Amino acid sequence: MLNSEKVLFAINDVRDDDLESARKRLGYRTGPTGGVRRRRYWRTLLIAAVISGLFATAAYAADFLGVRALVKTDRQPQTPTRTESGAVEWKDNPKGAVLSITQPQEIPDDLAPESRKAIENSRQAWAEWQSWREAYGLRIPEVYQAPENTSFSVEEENEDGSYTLRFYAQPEDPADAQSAWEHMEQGDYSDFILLEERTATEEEHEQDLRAMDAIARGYRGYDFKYGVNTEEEAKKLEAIAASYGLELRRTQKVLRGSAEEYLTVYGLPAGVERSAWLAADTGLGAEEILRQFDDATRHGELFAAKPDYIDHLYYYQEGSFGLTGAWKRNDRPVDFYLYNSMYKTLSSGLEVFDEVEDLAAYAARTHTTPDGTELTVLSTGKAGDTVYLYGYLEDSFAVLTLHAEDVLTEEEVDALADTVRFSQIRG
Amino acid sequence: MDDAKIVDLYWARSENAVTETASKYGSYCRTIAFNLLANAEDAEECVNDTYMQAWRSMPTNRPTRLAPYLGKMTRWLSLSRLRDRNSLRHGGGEVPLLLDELAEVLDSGRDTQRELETRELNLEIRRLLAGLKKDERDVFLCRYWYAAPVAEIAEKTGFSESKIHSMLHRTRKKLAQQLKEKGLC
Repeated sequence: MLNSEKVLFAINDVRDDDLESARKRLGYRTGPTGGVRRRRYWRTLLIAAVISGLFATAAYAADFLGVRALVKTDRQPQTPTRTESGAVEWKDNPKGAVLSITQPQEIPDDLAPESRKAIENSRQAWAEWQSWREAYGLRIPEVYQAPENTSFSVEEENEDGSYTLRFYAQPEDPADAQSAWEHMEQGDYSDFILLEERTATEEEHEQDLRAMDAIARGYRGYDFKYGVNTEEEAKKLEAIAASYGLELRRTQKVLRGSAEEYLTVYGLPAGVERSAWLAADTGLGAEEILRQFDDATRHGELFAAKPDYIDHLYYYQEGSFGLTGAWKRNDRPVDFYLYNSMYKTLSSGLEVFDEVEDLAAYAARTHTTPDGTELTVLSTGKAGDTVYLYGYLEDSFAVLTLHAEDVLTEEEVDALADTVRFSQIRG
Repeated sequence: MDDAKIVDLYWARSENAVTETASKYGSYCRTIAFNLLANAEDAEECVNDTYMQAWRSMPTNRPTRLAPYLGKMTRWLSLSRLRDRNSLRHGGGEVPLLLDELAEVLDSGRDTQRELETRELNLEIRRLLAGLKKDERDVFLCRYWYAAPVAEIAEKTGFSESKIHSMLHRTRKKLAQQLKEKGLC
């Protein structure tokens, strides 16, 4: 690495106070910004899901829905733009789209009535659940929600049972800030700037304790994407699901891939010793992951030829599953994400989603795999753009995404899709 | 939610930790990444990698302030991505310009007697920053840490662009001199 490049890296670890001072100078704010927040779980490892198999026979020949089957029409992606001065601003991108990987957004005319109804029910149920949560779900009381720039808050009980809340910010000057944090370690925070003082009732105090405790613990037994934190919320979610005849994704199981197999596809990251990379490897090879998945679910063998690397596979007992990894083709990695979502499962469609900058750039065609599954293929034909494939199976909606740094040819896309045995995904 | 509570969520291994982090710091981290990478998709991936790294690092770590903690992760991941692609000098965004500007600090055309470790450089940079006036330090970090364009720095600080260039030039010279006096270049 050239020396000027080293300087760029060496600057990274500077004093926090200095960074914060520069941040404020630029006006780079923290805190909720409103609008759509992108959560692209391409390599997300926190959100593993539990799969359950569904029996699916031949897939329905979908009407040619093209991109419409994936587009979330109620969301708009944001894109960064430069102002005249070069500052970055995030604005809605009218040419872009949010694509759901976990729920069909259109229903083919020839889909079985029961499945059609399930998809419609899932959307309505989700809307009802969100509405209820907004009105009655667990929340931190407004009085405890910290104002912007708060570094920390202090709570003091009053004689009358109420609580005084004080929200503090650190001093602007970095030297003063450093000193303030050092004093705080001795319990003295008098150097901090008092932003706001509020009074919370005893009830609000108790509510805050319950909320923080519940948020920290989470309510077990459900996919965390439902946002269930309390027994009351769980009961309501169950009731809504039951009223619509839907299932829920419950506790997920995760199978994680092998660091050694990673190397066969991606090679060793720069600056990393092989021994260090492999030292903490507790993952499984792709073959073992698929074998355990096969044992645990009702699916058959998912792949005609196993992927070269599986990063992780997560599954739920009701049938949904997600699987991410890579093949090595023509001497470079082709990343993939395969998700199967059951029609009869209550879902938002945003469990896993992606954003595209220019929807009009995507052309659609169909491809039928050797096991008779008709897929719609969406691609731009450009290097680095993700290719999306989807199919309406008998009981579920399957999406396969493919990504390489260069252009993926039609032949490559079709060949990789042909390795997936969609007919083995069972209800 | 304040940082202490978010950190508590990480320590409690609550998945809401990432949700809260994304809500509070997602935009900030995306801006850091985009300034370096000039590509929204790459920036988003680096931000997601930041969340992963945060999850792995807490517990063990308990930072008092998440903005610099996460910001450093995002910046390092973004630069590493460029380096791994051999795109530091050829990518979009400000990085090629930053490298040209910083080249006068060390790439003097003379033969260096030794390779400088990043750690040694970091110590010298910290010493330099400690000795600067606040404005000089802010401008230096805005440019070389946040990779903000000079025009943006001028707009936000109220200084003219020529003054920004002048301040940066003086600071780079100070760093070069400091390294020379230490026999490091």
